[in-house]
Amino acid sequence: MKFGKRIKEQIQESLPEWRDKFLRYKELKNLISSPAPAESIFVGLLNAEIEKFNAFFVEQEEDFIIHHKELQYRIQRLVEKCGDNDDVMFREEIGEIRKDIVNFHGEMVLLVNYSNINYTGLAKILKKYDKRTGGALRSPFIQKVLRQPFFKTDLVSRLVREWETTMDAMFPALTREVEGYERSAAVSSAAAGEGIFRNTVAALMTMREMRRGSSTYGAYSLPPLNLSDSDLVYGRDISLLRYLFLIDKSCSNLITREMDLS
Amino acid sequence: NLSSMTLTGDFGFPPTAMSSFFPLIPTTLDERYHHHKFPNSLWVSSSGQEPMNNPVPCQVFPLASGGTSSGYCNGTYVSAQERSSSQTRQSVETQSLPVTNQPQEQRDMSWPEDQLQGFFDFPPQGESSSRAKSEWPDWANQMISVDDGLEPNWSELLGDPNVLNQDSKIPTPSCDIARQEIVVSTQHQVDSSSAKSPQASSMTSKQRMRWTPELHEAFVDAINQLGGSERATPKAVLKLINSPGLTIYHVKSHLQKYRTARYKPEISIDTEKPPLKTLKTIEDIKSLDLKTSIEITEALRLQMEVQKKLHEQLEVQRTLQLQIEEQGRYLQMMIEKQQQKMQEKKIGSSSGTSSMPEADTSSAPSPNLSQASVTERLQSGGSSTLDQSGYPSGATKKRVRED
Repeated sequence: MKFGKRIKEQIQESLPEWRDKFLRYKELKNLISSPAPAESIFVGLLNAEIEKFNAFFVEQEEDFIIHHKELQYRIQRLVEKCGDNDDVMFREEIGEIRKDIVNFHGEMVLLVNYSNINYTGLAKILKKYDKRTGGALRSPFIQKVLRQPFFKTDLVSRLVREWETTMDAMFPALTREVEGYERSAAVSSAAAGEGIFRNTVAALMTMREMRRGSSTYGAYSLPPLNLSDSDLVYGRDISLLRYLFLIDKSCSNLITREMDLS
Repeated sequence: NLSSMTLTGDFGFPPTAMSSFFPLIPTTLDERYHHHKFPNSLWVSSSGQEPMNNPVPCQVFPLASGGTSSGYCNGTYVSAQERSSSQTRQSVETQSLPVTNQPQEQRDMSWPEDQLQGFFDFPPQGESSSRAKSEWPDWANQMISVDDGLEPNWSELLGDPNVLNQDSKIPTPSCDIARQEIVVSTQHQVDSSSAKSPQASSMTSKQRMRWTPELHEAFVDAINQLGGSERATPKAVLKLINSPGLTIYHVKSHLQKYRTARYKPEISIDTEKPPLKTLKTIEDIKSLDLKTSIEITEALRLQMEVQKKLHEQLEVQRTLQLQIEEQGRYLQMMIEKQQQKMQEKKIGSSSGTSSMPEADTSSAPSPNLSQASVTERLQSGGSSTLDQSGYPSGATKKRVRED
């Protein structure tokens, strides 16, 4: 039940072109609850969903590869142009590129997330199916899923990490001269790829929720996700996020409904 | 300090990142095209995509034919009504794109209306084919309509079970063949250094293609040699790249994407144009811009942090999920081994009743796993009446919390 709600919210927060590419979790659940869920139909639907994931994922990946290269070339050209100059004239372009890098990084992470949430949904729906029908469909089917293109996210993850490295190298940490968080809030939603940002946060919330530990915890459940233990100053950032959201009205739906970060 | 935004080596730019990012650093063409960077998981494969010959344990209800098939079929799923494994194999080979093995009477696989009504948001149509079509990306439609004369070998395609991946996902064999072809799920990875499997050659024209950065670089080099993306033709590009298994369809669709990607950013950002035309004085520019820049930078930094965090957690989660499945498989294997042993024991024993040893406690460290209940059902399927415990086979199984 929880997962169904979560995936629905993620879909709502996702980039528009992605929305009909996710797992149709609710429909599949309804099928299972019907009096005599036929396995052939169920499997047929799952396979169609998988096909959908594969097609979408591979196409996005191809787009990312192209964009990846183009962004590299852009940076290269910019470097050639401004060299060692700290010319203020280039500040805008540099800022533009930086924004593009961050957004590109974000989109790729969201694709990895897309892969994961669909996989998780499949695992859950299979578990439900077996529970409902007493079948043992889950295990072999999941093995098949693990071999699917959409599940193999290594390339995209690799690109993600490369850009993180690039960002760190190109734009070293700036001293915080921010005069209070209010301005950041106003700017963040405008300048920071709002759609991607919100989607990312929604994804993190979902993950936390899923890993909280459930009543049906068993052999196939993930261990609880403990975000507060991370090395990244996540705690600080989350309270910052909370603050930002509270300020920014457009994100308030997200926070007032979901936020339980203590 | 914004003024130090340069790319000089002071920042300790890791050398590996350097070479992959900046083609200024000389690498021979050879190196670039043949350099493997990816783990096997990205390759078409032997390891990646298992053809139908690989036995996959599937759900088996009490088989009339007894223990020989013991839960194995060739990579497809057995429906509850399936009785004999030989019939399974036959229907796999003769049906065009089977998803599940069905007894003959269920050959017609268009989904019954009553089960699907209202389940999907699409305009009411029971046929999967028309629905699936709307989901296909442009490149797939392109492949349908291209008339370059490279017709795949249909009979080989349909008849040869080795070529056709039986794990394919299309539920309705009745739909148009061309569409079936495109959505055949055999993953196809092309790289100039990869060895192509011979039987796949005629299928590659319609297979899904998975690009890599290396291959794309080869593509870009070819484009540049041919005078740019506007002037280059797919045929010429294909020839220059010279990668076995790459087809003109792949090149065509990729070229289209490439053109779009290059055209878009140039509308919004022209790095050749002089920037900052609208502000009055340099002073104004500096003071106003600096503050805003800092804020924007800060916001971007935050966004990046959140994204990094999500990615990190996704990788952790994925690893865990893989481990869980791996563990499950191992246990399943153990249980099946145990089961086999018991079968042999039964055959060997003279008495009618065989005592069922506690299989789950010996082979499965945690008796509460669902694997245990699977074992029981399989066991009780093998010998008619004996049931180890009172485990219900239905929906009321509960998962016990593992500590």
